[in-house]
Amino acid sequence: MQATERTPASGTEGIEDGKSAAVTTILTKSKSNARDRLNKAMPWVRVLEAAICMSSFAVMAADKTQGWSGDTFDRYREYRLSAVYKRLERLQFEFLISRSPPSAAEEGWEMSTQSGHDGKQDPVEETAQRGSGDAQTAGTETTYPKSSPSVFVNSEPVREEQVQNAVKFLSHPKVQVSPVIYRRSFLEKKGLTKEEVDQAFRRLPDSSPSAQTSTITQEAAAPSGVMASTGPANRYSFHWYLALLAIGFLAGTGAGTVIFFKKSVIPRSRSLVQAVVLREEIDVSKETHLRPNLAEKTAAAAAAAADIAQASEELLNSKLQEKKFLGEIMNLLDVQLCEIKSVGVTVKNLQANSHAEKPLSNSDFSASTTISRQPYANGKIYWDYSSVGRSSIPRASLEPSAAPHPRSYMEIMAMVQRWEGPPNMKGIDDSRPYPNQPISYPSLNPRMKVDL
Amino acid sequence: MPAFKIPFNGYSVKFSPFNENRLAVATAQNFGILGNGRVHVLSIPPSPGAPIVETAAYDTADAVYDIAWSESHDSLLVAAIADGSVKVYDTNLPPASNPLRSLQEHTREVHAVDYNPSRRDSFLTASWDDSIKLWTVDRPISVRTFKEHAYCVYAAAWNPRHADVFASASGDCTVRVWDVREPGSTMIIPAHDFEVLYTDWNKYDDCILATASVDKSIRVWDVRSFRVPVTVLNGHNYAVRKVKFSPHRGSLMISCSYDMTVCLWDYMVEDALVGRYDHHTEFAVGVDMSVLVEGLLASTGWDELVYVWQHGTDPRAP
Repeated sequence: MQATERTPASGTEGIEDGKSAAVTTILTKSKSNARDRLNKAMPWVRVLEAAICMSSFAVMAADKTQGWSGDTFDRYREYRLSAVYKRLERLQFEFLISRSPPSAAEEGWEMSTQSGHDGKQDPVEETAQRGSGDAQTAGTETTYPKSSPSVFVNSEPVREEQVQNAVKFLSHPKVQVSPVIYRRSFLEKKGLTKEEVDQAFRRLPDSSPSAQTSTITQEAAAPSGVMASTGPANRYSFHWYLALLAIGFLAGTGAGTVIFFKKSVIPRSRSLVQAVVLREEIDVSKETHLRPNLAEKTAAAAAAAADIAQASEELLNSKLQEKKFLGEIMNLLDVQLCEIKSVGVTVKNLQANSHAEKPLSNSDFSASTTISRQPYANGKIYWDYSSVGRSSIPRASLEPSAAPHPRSYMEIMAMVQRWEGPPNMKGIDDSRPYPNQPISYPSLNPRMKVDL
Repeated sequence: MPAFKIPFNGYSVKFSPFNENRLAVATAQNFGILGNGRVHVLSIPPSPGAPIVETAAYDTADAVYDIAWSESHDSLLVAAIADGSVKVYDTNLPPASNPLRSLQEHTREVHAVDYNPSRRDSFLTASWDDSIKLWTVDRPISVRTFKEHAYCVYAAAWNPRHADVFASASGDCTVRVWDVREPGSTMIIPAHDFEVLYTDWNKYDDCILATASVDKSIRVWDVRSFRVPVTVLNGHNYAVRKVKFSPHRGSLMISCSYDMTVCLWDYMVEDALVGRYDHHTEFAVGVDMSVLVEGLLASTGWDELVYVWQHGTDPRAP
């Protein structure tokens, strides 16, 4: 093949020659175009690559909560489940559960509290003085309460020490595992007022939801607008949705990038590569010193582009898989929640009068374990919980000084736990017979109350 | 007078504010675990030797945990039912027309009901669904719901002087003071280290309230300095179920406990325990002091008996 001939080929000449000439010119032009285009495209490819890497990193970074401090009780279905579970457990183990938060939290409180949190004298005196002054006016006030403070309002100033202790308590890692409502209840039990508890929550040091939103806004390009607007608004409750949104957007951008690559860049680079290779076969001698380099470069660029495309495809697939997985998990959790709710309803309908057990909790006041009651004439014998370890009622082992229940009570509890109803129950319809029945006039007037 | 035998286990007694001879009793079958319930309206005879007579009884599908008389209508009763409903009964109507109302809003057992003695038109119900609801008799739905407690609310009590203030006792070991004009609780008293089962206001000092708890003690609090109790009364051997202030003497209180005793206390006195009645043979769960007759006490328990006696006398005397 004579490549040196540069005359335009006529149609009837050796096709190869003509072809080679035409192809040569076309290829030359396209080669230079291709080189320019590739050179222009390379940095953009690199930029895109970087953007995709950063956004995937952002997704990973979004997952980085410090412990569970960003969570709230209400957002997570699994916590709702755990709440239902806890209620069911409470029917059995009221006292133990009613001592929530667990002792780990107590430790945390003890560690963070230096001195006792009993009220200081000065605010107490102030409130006492104000209270006595207000007692006379409080009875007659009908105006808006803020104008004349009621004595039933806690008018103590916010105690800084208590707030700091509460913040330390809330930052304790063991405490951060527990749901927020129990943390609040614990602090209130410790004597903090509502304002102090609110301040402690506001002052939590690692406001991780807002930190996450800031990283997302810094690093991700497309989702940043949405994240920034939703993030600072409510740092706790949108965290889950933020992560899902991020995944969705990244999947979208990944898909878009992949499609873009697939449709435009790769075919071009492939055609370029093909053309170059073809040209190589046609014209070897002249551009031998350039062609291999060019071919290598284009091949390398194409390979790199193909790699990027592959990587983004893989990323997209993994994101989609994660999404599916998450969806499956949510479905499973929903199913479980429904099941547990139905169980809870049936248990509630059949289960013990748990309150009767609730107050019968132990106390650490006296170690009275023996119940020295004699059997009564009617033949009821009292079971001493501490001496008789009834395994059917797990409470017994946990409450050494619980009051002794009558035997028939224990029988009924056992029956209920076997899912049998007691025999003497009757079906009674106690719904109101006449829904629109008016209330009768009173026959007696209420006595005038003497104001003492 | 002799004790009145009820078919089920007693849960609560209340004297009528209109009629000094009337008493309402809330009872539950099978200790309130599972079964029916019944509301009894009893008539106390004027002479001590005569027996107590039942004038009305209303059956319910589930246990009745508490009962309250209306302060505006002498024949109306409000009952707290274990299936979450609140039923209003009228003793002037025949049993076939009762209950007058059945209000179903609570999602769990309603444990206590208290009628407003000042406004006379509204009442509160405390439930194990952690909430307290405010109702009026003429409305079919609740007026307000107060949901702040973290655990079951065992009792709610109106302040006798301030018509809009009430206190609630809960299993989350706190007592909250509320004002119906405010959106949330106005005061949180960390009353005990264990569940608080009941709370009641002093009828003569509107800032004093007493709390009864699982930790066997009764604590008296002053809301003006609520960090430290005014006094702690120990003497019961098991959880104290109810504590009520006397409507006749400012510092006198009555309490009933799972140690089967009913005790009288005077918290201003050095030795606070002023009386102890050991007449029940099961948990003493309900107790009340009459407003109209000074010194008249009533109690009921899981031993299916209702006792009415004068303070200082033996309840079991025939």
